[in-house]
Amino acid sequence: MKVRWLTRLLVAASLLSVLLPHVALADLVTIYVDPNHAQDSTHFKTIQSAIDQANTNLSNPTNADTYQIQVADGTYSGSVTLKNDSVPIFGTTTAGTFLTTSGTGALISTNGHSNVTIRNFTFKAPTAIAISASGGSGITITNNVFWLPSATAVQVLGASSSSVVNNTFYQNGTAINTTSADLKVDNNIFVSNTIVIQTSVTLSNISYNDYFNNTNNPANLGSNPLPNSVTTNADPQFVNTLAGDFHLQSTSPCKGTGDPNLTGVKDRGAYGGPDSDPAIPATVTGLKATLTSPANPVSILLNWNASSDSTITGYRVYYGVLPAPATPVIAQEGASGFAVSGIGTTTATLTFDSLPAPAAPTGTPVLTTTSMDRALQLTWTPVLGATDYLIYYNTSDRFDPTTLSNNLAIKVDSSVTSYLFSGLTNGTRYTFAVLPRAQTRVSASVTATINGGSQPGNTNESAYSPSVTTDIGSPVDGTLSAQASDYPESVSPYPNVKGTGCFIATAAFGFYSAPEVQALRMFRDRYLLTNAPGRAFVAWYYQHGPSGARYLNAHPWLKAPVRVALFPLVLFSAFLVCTSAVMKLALLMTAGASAYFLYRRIEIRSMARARRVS
Amino acid sequence: MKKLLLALLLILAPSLALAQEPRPDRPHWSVELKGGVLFPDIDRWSTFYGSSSAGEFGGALAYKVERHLEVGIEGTYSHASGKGVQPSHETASGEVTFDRAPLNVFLLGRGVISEDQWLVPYAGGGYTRMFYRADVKGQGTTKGSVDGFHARAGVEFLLDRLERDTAESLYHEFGVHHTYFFVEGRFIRAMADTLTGGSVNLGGSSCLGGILVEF
Repeated sequence: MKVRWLTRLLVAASLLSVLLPHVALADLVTIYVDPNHAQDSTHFKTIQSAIDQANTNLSNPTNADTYQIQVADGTYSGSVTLKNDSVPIFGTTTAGTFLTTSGTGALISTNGHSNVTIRNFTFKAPTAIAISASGGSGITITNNVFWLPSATAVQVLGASSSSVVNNTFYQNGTAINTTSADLKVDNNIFVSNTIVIQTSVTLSNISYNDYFNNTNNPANLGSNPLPNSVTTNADPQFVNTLAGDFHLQSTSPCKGTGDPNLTGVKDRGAYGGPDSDPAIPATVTGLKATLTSPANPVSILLNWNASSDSTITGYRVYYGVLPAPATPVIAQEGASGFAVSGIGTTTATLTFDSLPAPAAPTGTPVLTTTSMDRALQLTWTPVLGATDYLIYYNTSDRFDPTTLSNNLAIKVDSSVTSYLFSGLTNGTRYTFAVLPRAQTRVSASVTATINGGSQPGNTNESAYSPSVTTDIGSPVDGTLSAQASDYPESVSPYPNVKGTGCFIATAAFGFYSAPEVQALRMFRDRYLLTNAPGRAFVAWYYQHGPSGARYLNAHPWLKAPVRVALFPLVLFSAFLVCTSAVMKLALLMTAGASAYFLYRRIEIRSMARARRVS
Repeated sequence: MKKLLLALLLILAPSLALAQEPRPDRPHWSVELKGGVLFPDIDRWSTFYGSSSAGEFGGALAYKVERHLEVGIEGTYSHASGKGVQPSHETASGEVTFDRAPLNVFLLGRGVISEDQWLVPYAGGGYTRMFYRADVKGQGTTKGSVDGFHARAGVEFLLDRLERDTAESLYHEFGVHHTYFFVEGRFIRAMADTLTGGSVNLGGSSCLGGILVEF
């Protein structure tokens, strides 16, 4: 008995060992089409090569993986043929993935395959069929834009249980040509097509489509169409058809009126539904806050610039109170994140019934200074409950803390715990103290939204605008830090070795960094040290220059005449080192021409004199 | 120890089996390209420059007065960047670069017993002119040069025997007698006055390695 169970156990274990690896390794593999990516087993330059790779992989009977094909944004030319069941193909974004051809065949064709999804493409070609599906079943065509003047956009022949959902058909010869009676046509926009639906059968699954300016609308517009008795103008109000932008403007009747049974954006057309392109409006700019009522009830008026994004439908205001109130406060507009409806509205008012006074910050900041060249870096420890710090400073050794207001002060936010004072005078002593303060403060930020948005920076909602803060009431002071005193100091190299300069010029002009000395030094580096005679002169000068400088320092009355004597040399050096080659050439030519004319003048004068003598 | 000495002697001694054919002339010039590490002889160097060493590279040209004696000129360059000093605060601050370029005139003795010798020890020294430049960002440059001396010693490894054909080809086509890889230690002393009243050695100890070509 035990042997039989043992045998069964071994057989079961063997079967599991064979089966388990295959089960465990079955995975959804994405094959990417990206012309800008190096080709490997999951990246290809063309759509057809990616389809072929998926086909090759699926032809391996031991391979349990499933595949999908993602096409990077870009323009792709030529026809492709799908080769497998259940391998979806989709563009990265509808607005950015273009398929085109100059031929007359189908851009994407599938024959006899089932459960194929084709989505997020913009088809634009003059004579081709965009998608041709024949046979098979479960073909899903969604979130595509079709713009094929004089041609057929979608052809579904005999493919049962298929659907055409959330597409935009614009200026096509025939938008849909089908023989499948159960074809679902839902949430699409048909604009300026010659024929919307060409069929020899009766379609019974048509709903939530928008029909505008077509030559031949279908006899049966289906359920919940646009136009209807309430909305008679079905113009979808595309953002810019000339530029190929088929997003909907905020006032479009197709906005928010799509099929409620679909998840995601409730818009009709290619930019609605669960697989639509994520839309993130531009960030709101120019937000300003004005305290219109400082006493309870506190009122703050917010203003911002109107967004130029025509797809947005409103704004949302976020606000917060610092320090956090012990009891809830109520802004008249509601909780933070309240919506401002109407895109023309660029103001909102925050009204608080009461705002509690802040508690004094707890703790004393510990202040340290770091000396730098012409600057002092101030650093302090953060204090709990502080909303800002006042930095007091002056140039005395100490100041009286009881008369702080007599000193200069800089206010910084509580997130700042260091401050660089620059432009100071080296060697001058400065004294600092930091005062933490607590202040009731309301901060606010605004986002632009499409249909209510989701959350800032995500689909249908912009990122937060730069926030604005408004101080309410008087601040409560904390404890002043101990005073810190320091002085900025110039930096020397390490080791601080002596340099070799122009001794006489330095003595005559007073200091090493004088512009005249700099000019002579640059002249030395560029025109003397670059050749042997120049270097020899420099060496000779370095040998005898120091004694000359010492004599000059011992007889200061000589410095003025030496400066005058050196001036032509300084001027000459400055000209040589500070001017371009063209300037030098121009001077040389001028000097040459002057010399020539002078010579000629002398020559003519001497000839005249000779003539007079003769 | 005896075995080690014996092994060294064997390496130093010419190999009869692989000895090259005698050449009618001897090399008269040599060129070195070298690089390595300089350990500055300055207190608290690493406090300001973050490391106790700095990279150094350069080259040398020498004339062989005799087979065992050569005179030449060597130049190397070393660069370090770090912080400067605030003299009163005695703290590191600012951004400073410090460049040194010693120019050495040397006399060198080489222990060449045979042209086919594996290892050639050498030692020498001479006069040094140390050029330096310190640049404090936003403040200016200090530069100058001071006199000094240097001493160096090392070992050259004959590369010709690794590829005899290449060595022969270099000789016949370019007149290159030998090619060595060498490692050496060098010390430079070049005292410069400081503005604080003392003096400091701008040299230091270096470990260098490179290629030497004799022609």
